[in-house]
Amino acid sequence: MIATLSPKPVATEDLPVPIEDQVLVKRAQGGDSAAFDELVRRYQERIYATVYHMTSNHEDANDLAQDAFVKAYRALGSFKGDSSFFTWLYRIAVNKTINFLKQRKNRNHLSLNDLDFNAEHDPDLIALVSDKTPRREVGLVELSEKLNAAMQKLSDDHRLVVTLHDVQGLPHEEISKIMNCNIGTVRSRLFYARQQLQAYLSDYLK
Amino acid sequence: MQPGSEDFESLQKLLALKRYEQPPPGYFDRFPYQVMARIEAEEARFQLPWWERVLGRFDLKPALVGAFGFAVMGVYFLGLSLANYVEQQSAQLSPAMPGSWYSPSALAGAQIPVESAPRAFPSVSQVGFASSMNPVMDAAPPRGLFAPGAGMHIPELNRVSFSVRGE
Repeated sequence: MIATLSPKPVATEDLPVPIEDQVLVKRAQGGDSAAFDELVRRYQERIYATVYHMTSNHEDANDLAQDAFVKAYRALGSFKGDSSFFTWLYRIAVNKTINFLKQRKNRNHLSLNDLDFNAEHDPDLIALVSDKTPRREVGLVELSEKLNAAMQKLSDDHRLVVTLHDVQGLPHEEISKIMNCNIGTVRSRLFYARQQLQAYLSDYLK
Repeated sequence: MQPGSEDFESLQKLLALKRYEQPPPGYFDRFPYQVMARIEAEEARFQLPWWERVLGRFDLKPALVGAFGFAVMGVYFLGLSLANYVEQQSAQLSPAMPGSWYSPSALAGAQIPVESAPRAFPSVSQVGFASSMNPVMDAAPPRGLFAPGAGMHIPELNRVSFSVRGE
């Protein structure tokens, strides 16, 4: 089975029922490692995807996603259920990633994942690729590299908002909880980040 | 679309491309095992006694062990060379006191009568017997700490022991 990074936007309705998470968290807090294993399986793709889109580097994303889950396991005792497990876990992963990016600052080595075969059949993407490109596949790979390079030019906070909203499909409210800021800030950051990206990628946007 | 316009539809379509970037096949099948293995390894490490955890850290960092070894060797050789230096210095001083050491000019600031300073080690017969408890170089009663001319800058050699030959 080929795993993809959230091909569909993740809406709140798609999230697992909170009560199930709560049950698993209770069990994990009681020392049931199988329950925590289930939580890892449930959220691994979304956590990995967030970190990957922030770093544009598979190896870094792998390390940081693992670190986030290990830290979450160690901190399970302090999780009181004030927010959903999903939000709490996201916050851990996001904080870890932002701290990492602050240290990395001057090292922007991209290690991009391959594009899923299905990307070639996405009508929106087909429309974006120039008709003059001899092979559509080449066009998409190049476009992906330009997009990632443009994303890396954004500040960490702006890149995070774009990743969570436009790539992962999280609603503003959820993002504001994860980033610990108000919804207005999320909206303004999203607007500014899109403007920046649009300017960087103007040659590729029709 | 003109850059700067507020219609981000094309951009959002382009951003959708990122959803198709995927890790190597089977990555998410292995990921939970890697996480659980790390958790178990950490738990096992915390159950060890403190000294095994300290040693375990060295196991993980051979460079640290090497640096520690070099540091220990450096301290050892430094100590060794210092010991040699001190030994050479004392060997130069012990056979007979050089004249300049007790010269009037050297002791001028000390306000010690030059005549009272011994020119060389007194013989055993002068002192009576040789013992570390009987310092032969300092025949005169020791001056007090606050006596005029006393201080760290005044060289004062106290012989702690010597052997008697040819008696």
